[in-house]
Amino acid sequence: MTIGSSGADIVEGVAALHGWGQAAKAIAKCSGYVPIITVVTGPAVSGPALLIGLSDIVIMTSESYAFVSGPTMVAEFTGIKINNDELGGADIHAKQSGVAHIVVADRETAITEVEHVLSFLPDNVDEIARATPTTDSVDRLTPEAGKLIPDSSTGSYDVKQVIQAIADDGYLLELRARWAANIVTCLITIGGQSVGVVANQPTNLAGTLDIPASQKAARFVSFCDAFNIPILTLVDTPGFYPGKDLEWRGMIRHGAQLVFAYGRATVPRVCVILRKSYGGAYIVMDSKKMGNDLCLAWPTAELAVMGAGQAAAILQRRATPQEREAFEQDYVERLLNPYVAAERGYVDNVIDPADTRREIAAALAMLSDKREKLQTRKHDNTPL
Amino acid sequence: MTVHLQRAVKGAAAAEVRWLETISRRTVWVDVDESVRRGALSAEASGVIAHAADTAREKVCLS
Repeated sequence: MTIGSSGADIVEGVAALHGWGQAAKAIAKCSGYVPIITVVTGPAVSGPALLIGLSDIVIMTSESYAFVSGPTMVAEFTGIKINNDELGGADIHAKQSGVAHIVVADRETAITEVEHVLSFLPDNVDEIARATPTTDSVDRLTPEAGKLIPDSSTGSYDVKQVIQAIADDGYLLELRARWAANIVTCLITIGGQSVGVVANQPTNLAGTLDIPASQKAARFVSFCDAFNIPILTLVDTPGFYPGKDLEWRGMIRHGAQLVFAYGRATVPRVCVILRKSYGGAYIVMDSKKMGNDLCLAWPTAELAVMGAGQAAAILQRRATPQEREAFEQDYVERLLNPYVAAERGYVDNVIDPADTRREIAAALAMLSDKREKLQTRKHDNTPL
Repeated sequence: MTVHLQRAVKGAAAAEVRWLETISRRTVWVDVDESVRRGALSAEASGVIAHAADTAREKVCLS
């Protein structure tokens, strides 16, 4: 759907409002059956703005804007003067609200982008996406991926470079790139088959999970699951982002959205632990008991309840600095590795980073016939 | 080949089943045209959107 609308027809009155309701209901009924892609080419104000929110993918042109209540209402109710762009321009929806998955220059580019997105998706929920031709061998080695991990455990790297190493021809289609940049959601192909990737991004907020990141990843996992796209999760997170403001805004509810999305996903799920994998955030990021089908880990993986410094702060409160240092060193050597988890079956295999692409490809091939069904019910009750 | 849906209904919304040659895909397209009464959605125009959505869900994309 392409949309440029000033809202319901005021002249027509209440009938126009009910008409909008009818359209919204019909679009909502499409959800999970066929992919819904909306291009915003101009204003999308009031009711039509909510139609955008029902879409699976939203592409906005740089001149477009969207909001439920416009600048006049904002000024009347809050006294704040603001223009269309500041309130709901494409830039705002790309960075602040997460409404826009992709922003492009103009309508023509947007239409091309629709076709591009569709190439990763099936026609409907009963099909799988068609394969994309590629000459990139699934056995291609990926030594460059492992070299990205810095020596320092607090050092950062761009996880998108890891994804590029894994993907066919190094190509990824990132969605919501500028919103909640501490987590990356993108579509790639491996061996020509569409794969949805969720990855913590160490360059932003150290890859922690906060409310926007949880929402972004949850929606993406749910989208992939609806349209039979296997999910690859790349983990490097020190945990949930702490803070009173975050807790007050509902970190529990939004964190639960991500738990819920993974918990009910029935598509093939492969998890690769790259480095830090601590505490609750580790469990949320498609851990073994959350239901991944195969869990791989690099030798640099650190699976633990928390990092060494945090553990020392709790367990060695009354210790001397020397004792704390010794504790931390012992903690790192004994616990911050993938082998303890592997011995307990939480990790299926510790792999050389150079083998990452071919290991994932082999896992996805193994899982191509996976058929998992949820118990029949009216519908689930997603934590919103 | 493009198949128009409810073509004679007046208003800002138009719908059609469009074949996308570059990716060999059939899609249901809805255009809400800003140049027609600033894209204001009448009950009829919204009805076109609803009909297009139902067509996608029940007939075209699931067939």
